[in-house]
Amino acid sequence: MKNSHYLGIDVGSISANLVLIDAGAQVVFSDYRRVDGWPLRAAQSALAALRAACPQAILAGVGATGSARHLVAAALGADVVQNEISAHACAAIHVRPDVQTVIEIGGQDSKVTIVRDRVVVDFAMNLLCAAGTGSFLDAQAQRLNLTIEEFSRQAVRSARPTGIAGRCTVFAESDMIHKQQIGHRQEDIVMGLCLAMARNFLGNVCVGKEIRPPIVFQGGVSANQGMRRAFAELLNCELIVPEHHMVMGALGAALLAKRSAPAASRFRGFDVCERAIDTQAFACGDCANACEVIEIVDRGEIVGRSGGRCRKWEGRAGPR
Amino acid sequence: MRTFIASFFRRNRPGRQRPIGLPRALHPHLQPGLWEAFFAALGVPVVLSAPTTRATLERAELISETEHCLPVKLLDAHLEELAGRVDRVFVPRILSLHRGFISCPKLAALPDAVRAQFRGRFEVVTADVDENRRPLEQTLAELGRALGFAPAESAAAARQALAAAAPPAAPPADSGRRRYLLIGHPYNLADAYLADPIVRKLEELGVAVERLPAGPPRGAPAPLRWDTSAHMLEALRARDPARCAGVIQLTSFNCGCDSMAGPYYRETLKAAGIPFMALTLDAHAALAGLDTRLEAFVESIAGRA
Repeated sequence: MKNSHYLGIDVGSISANLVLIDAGAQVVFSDYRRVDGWPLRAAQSALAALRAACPQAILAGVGATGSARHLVAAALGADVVQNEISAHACAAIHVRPDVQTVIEIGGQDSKVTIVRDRVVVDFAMNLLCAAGTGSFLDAQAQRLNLTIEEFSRQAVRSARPTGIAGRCTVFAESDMIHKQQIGHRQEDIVMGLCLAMARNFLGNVCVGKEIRPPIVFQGGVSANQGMRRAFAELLNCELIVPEHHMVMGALGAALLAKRSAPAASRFRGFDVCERAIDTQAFACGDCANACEVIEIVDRGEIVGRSGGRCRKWEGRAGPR
Repeated sequence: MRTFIASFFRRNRPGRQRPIGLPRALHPHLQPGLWEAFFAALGVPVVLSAPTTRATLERAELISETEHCLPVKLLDAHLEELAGRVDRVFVPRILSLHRGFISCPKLAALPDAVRAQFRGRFEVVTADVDENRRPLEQTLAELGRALGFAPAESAAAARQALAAAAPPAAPPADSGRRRYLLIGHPYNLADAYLADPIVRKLEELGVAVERLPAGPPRGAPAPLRWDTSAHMLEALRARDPARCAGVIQLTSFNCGCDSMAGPYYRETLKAAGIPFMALTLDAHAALAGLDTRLEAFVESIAGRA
């Protein structure tokens, strides 16, 4: 179809990313914004931005990913709901078909994905701890009273990075303060933090994984020059940071939507960005677990549900 | 101590058949059916705690030491539930479950830890389970005598319990279509609250999955002397990549045995060309990111085939 486009939306803990691709898989629009605790609203406002920028676009398919993918998919109407590991890998393979390793560090997640012959063969994610992720860098930059951009610029200037214990946020923070008090230069401390974080990532998440180049580095943290430098030094090779490194998950979701080629998209129309889509919780009383189930409500109608260990509520729309 | 308890019970013979509490957590999962059968044979009513629910997990977080692994935290919550219902519970001191092997060192301290935690709330009945020192039948018979039963009664109950307890299941055979194997310590795999969502999610993804049953390590001596770890390693070594699509290990955060044994599992499966993933259980994030990991794991395996 002429003018048919595919939308990918990736709503994670920190940011909501949206990418529109055309029939030739070229990115025609992208949007990156903070979630600030409102995943659904962030998705809606990203969609509003898309409508303002590309009013002519006809959406032939929608893909959702990220930790809020089920919520967003129910509210917006998605044809493909994909986990973020597969979505990120899909985008990296699209950009660099010869990619062997994908390092993706976002707000609360960090992952490594091993790719051979364009297929994901192994992956690992960080566990229960955000010390090696964007929120950690954010917190440390704030502590040093630097914006994350200044933080990034400072790191590159460092000539003698300070050695910092990066195993745990609490230790890193106290170690950093100690180094600051004994007179280490700020740029060295900043770069030291980046190295500590990269070491932590390689030592924890990547343990037992075969990290081979070409390595694609993506996710919010890949914008940080200090982190690029840290990985390049520790891995002894240049990392590829793709043009759309901030929105690769959304790009992957868009590519997967395009690949699935739905006969008719389930997209519920641009109007969804104006509606007051709400969520409500109820405690399921069917067993002793009393799980909290979330219902997504649009104009008085339940368009989706999630939550519950037995999974029976997943995706169920309509009355209880 | 044992003599003291024995004499105490002999003096209180009528009380020897008062109910005993057994948690549905930790040790009963290691020897399925054994303790219920033994106490039943002695005519001692067994009171089981209710199966784990979300409330159990929340309670465990509140009352248990922060540094404990999830299975020990859950044990505390299950025992607390029993505290109002019985005046004694059974917590064995497990040193070795199978001859030639040793058990997780935490299990050796459980009766002491439980006594300290629940002082004054119930009596802790215990027995040393140490197959390297004496066979289980003897352990059971001694326990019976310590509880105030005559030697003949105790020996008969021991024999009955051993006969009735679930015979050690053979490692699941590779059969039919390619399956996923779920491995982990029996107390994690057998707890429906912990393991069932994983099985359900895998089934939802359209793959066949089986849980490794509890059982003794058998065959050639394993490089691991921890019983449950060796049992897992043996099962992995017997996997045929043509039949086994992938292995998922359920591990508790902070598990020392798993962190030492993990590399063996990884290397064994890598050599066999079988994909492997470990999922970590923790009271806070028992299921965080679980769907994402399982989906990506199954998808990557489907993509490879």
